[in-house]
Amino acid sequence: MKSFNLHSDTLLKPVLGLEFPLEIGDNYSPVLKKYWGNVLDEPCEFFSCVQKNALEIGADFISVYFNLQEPDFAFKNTVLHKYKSIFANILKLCKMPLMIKLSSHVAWDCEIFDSIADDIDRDIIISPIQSANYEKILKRALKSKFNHKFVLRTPIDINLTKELNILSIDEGVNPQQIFIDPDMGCIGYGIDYGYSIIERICLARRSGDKMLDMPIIVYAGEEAYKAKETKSTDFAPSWGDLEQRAKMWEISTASSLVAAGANIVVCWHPDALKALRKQFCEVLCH
Amino acid sequence: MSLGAMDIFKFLPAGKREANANCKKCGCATCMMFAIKLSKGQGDTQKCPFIPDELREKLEHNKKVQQKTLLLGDLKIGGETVLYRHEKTFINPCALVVELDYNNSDYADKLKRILDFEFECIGNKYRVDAVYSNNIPDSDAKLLKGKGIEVFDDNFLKNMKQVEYSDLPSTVNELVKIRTSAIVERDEKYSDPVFVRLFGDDFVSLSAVASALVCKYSNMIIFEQFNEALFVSLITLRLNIFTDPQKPLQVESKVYEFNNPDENAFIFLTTNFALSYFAVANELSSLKCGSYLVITPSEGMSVLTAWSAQKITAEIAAKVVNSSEVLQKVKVKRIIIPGLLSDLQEELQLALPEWEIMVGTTEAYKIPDFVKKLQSA
Repeated sequence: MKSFNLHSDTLLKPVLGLEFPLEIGDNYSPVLKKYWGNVLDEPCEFFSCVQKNALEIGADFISVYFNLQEPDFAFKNTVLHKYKSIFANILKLCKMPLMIKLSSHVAWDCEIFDSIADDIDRDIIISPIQSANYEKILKRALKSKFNHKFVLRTPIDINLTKELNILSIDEGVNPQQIFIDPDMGCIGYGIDYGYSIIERICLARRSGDKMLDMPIIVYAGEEAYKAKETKSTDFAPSWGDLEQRAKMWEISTASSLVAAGANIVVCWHPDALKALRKQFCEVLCH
Repeated sequence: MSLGAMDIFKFLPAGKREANANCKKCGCATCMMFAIKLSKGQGDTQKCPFIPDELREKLEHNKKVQQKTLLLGDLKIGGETVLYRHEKTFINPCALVVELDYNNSDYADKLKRILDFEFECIGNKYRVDAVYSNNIPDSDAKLLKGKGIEVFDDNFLKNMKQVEYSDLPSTVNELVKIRTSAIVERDEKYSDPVFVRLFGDDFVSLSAVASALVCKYSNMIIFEQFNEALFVSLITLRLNIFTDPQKPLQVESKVYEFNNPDENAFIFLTTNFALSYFAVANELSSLKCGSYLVITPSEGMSVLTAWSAQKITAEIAAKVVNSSEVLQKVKVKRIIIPGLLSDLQEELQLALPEWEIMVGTTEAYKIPDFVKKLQSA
């Protein structure tokens, strides 16, 4: 991963990741279905295809999203077994920095992480870790010899963010291993709350608060593609073309949060990542 | 920097623990009260014979306007007073403007698209704010104004400061410098509202650029080309960023429809706190089936706050349900209430005897699973 200079007053170049979900449900946007095409049905093929794209457009890392919600007890072992074997294959295929994103359901995330933890053979980013499961996941991850990064998620509250950072450091995490996830929404869905939390974290950081002095990560792709504006053609003509609107929903979410001070952006559509990279990162020196 | 009462008090006799403390010559009982008055911009510094020049200068400086407000018909531009929205609030949303050139071959088409463009979001209608043109015929200008779209030319732009777009990081840094000089230093050289012109039709790239400029810190953006999806996403972002953080964003209390609900639709209920609404609305719109969402008038409070403040009661909820015509057509008379409101179930059941009141999930994201289980049951 790139290093961060968090104390600059100027707009920072964001680090950009490309993410894909392992389970394609009814909710998956037709815009993304059309882009990825046939590879969606087979997770390892999907991974290879996303990685090829990510390398071409200059993404900094790739993220595998274990997005299935906790299954019924009877199916649990089958799913965990499947995840273990998919993940082992992904590790063999993966040529770039890797993030795993768990489902965000605290108990189920511990089970997923337990099932794949033994296979991890390199430094990765583990996301999201929350106050209800940080002890379990961190304990397991810190046992390995690797220097993982941990994405700590707290629900849009600067005090909770600080608290979870302190608690995690008490568990033995190095401050440099922490990314802050303020649990953002997307445009049109209360992005202002997270926008202001990010600005406040940056101000606290500049005034010397060491416990908030970590890079901020936002999931523009996942959040934007939850909204119906990125999925449905059921809008009046004034809402514009679905494909354009979907890309813009993700880009606008990402761009405003980078303006607020976000350091790492995780995208779903390669065109969104490409546009962000072009505008924020590919600037010639003057 | 704004001067608080304590900052002022430090300069007054009582604050300095000197003779003449609380002398009442200013008409106030104490120096502290005089300080509070001055901090609110009231009171006359001349009335206090002991005010040091340093404080007088500071107060004088503080009277200077940070950023001028320009009027363009009903549209207000500029007038900002803080750097960060959480300090107070942003005041006048960044105006989103399209350029029209009568001599250009796409003039008629562009004019029509601008006139036709209108979308609704949380009960309000939005359009292009204004058109920038130096040669628009009066009749077309009238058409635009009739739709609430302002029209202006180079004369109006003389009142504003232009920042030339170079690249995104440099332009944002330039805008941040100007806004900081205006707000913090109260430097008159920077008190004019600022605009940026963006060219070309690479709308996906323009979305990245303009979104950052809406936040930091353009008062107006003039686009050479028009695109519906771009304006919808920018206006949506702007709506969020220019919301007053001191007033919880509310949605209108009524029955909302998702995915063309029919008589088999599910019915959910929550309060009119915008975040509660968005969380549930997002899940309902992602369902395959149709559904209704009953929103109670709860002064923008979240579910638990509203419950403890008695802003969501059986009576309030029953009123919204009973006054809705669409809900009467639904076959399965069942209302799903937030899991956090389980204590309200019995009371609601009594108030709505012909309905089944079912306790739903505590988190919105669990709704799809909840619905799946209901459907398979």
